[in-house]
Amino acid sequence: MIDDNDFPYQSLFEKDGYTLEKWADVDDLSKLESGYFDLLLLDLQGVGRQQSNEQGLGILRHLRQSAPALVIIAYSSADWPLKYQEFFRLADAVLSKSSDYVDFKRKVDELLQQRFSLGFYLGRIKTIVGVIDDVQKLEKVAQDAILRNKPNMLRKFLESRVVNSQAVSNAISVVQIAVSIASLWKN
Amino acid sequence: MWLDAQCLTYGFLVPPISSAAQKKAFREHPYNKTTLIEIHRAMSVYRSISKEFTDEIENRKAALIEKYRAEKGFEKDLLELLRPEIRRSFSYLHDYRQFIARVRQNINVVLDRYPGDTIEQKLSRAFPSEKAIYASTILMEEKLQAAYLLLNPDRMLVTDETIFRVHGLVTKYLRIYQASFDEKNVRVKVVGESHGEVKGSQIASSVIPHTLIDNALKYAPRGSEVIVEFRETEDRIELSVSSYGPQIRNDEREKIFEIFFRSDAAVKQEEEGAGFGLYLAQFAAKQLGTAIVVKQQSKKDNSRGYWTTFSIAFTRER
Repeated sequence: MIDDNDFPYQSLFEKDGYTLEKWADVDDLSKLESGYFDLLLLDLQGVGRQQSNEQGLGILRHLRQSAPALVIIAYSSADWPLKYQEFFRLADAVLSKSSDYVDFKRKVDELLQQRFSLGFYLGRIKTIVGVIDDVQKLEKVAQDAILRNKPNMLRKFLESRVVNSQAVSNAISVVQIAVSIASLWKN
Repeated sequence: MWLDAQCLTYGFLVPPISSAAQKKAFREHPYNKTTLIEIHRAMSVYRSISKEFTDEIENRKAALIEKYRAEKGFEKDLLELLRPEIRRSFSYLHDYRQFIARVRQNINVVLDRYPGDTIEQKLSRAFPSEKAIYASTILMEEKLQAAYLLLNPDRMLVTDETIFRVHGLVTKYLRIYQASFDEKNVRVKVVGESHGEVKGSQIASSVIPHTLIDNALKYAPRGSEVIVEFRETEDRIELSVSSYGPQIRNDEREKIFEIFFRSDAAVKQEEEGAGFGLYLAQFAAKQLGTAIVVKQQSKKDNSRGYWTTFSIAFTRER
């Protein structure tokens, strides 16, 4: 959780068994990019000034490129003009700071459950790749790549369809993260 | 001196008369007398023409103003002119929101000790003071939302249409304001039912019941009544909010939906009030392809004011 203000719900999450780290600012960007965290609650104002002029919005945009599998909840007390709405679509969910704890917890639980589902990673890969002729084939190849721990299967498939190299790289990193929890689905 | 001033005003120059001898000579000289009389006559004629001319100018000015007011761009132009002032006044909006969020989160921590999976379940067991704190944060948030929409009316444009129930939206605000109605000993009666749905911007739609209920609370005298009525047909969902309130003269019926306008009686009754609630609500109604109308009984209840009904008809989604 990255927020320059207090987060009273931290005690409630910890009481309910969650392991939570609270940063007042973006202390370690590489830790966010590495896949260490399952979920990030990211304040959009007052954080990330050293990394981006757009503060939290800039961090959100960066993490979507560098950590595409990270679940991010955009968290704000502000109402944003329409021109910023596109940024919010980069996040997996948006929560107002004045949301009740039960709503926070419900959303966090929902996204964590998705995070540990195969469908989440297939969905992420499809979003990263964008428009492609054979979506069903993409899903099948991505699924095989994850369950058989063969990311290169997906790489070859995407490169043969002239998908841009950044998107290929991001898709592969999603596969690699999915591989690490694939054992849950095999059991 | 008076004559000099008048003449200067009307473009005549009168030579200064300082000495007694000059004054005597001026009075006695026939030409001067005649000139003075002629000037008087000319000024009388001028004054009468001037009054007609002035009236003509005023009438034309009034007609131009009415024509401009009738144009669609009038309110937008006015808002643009006023926007810097409004922004300055609301410059603490973000800080207030942070404050409300902090209070809300902390009251949630307090309420967490009560059993229940929903906040409503926890609140049902809470102390009245805890309920009041929680309710206050919601009320403050809604008020700030209205202020935010005034600065950013584009957020009420139809960009994210959803399907929603008018009844649910109204119930939400009745719950938010219930404690305030109780405090003022105002009884709220809901008449009729509505199960139909409306398609539109929920942000825009929320402004309407919020404003009507907020105004009803603001102007309803202690111990009086507010009636919220639903009437539903196959095609329409009609919502009306009725309560006692200050007089709205006939010439004010349209103006109360203009930005920052409040009826004279409303200003006298209630000093506080920014006067943009009905403007926003009407703006929101127009985004939904409808409009709010107001009716008021002409007979005053001496102790309570005038029985006033604000109503709106939504197109029902099939």
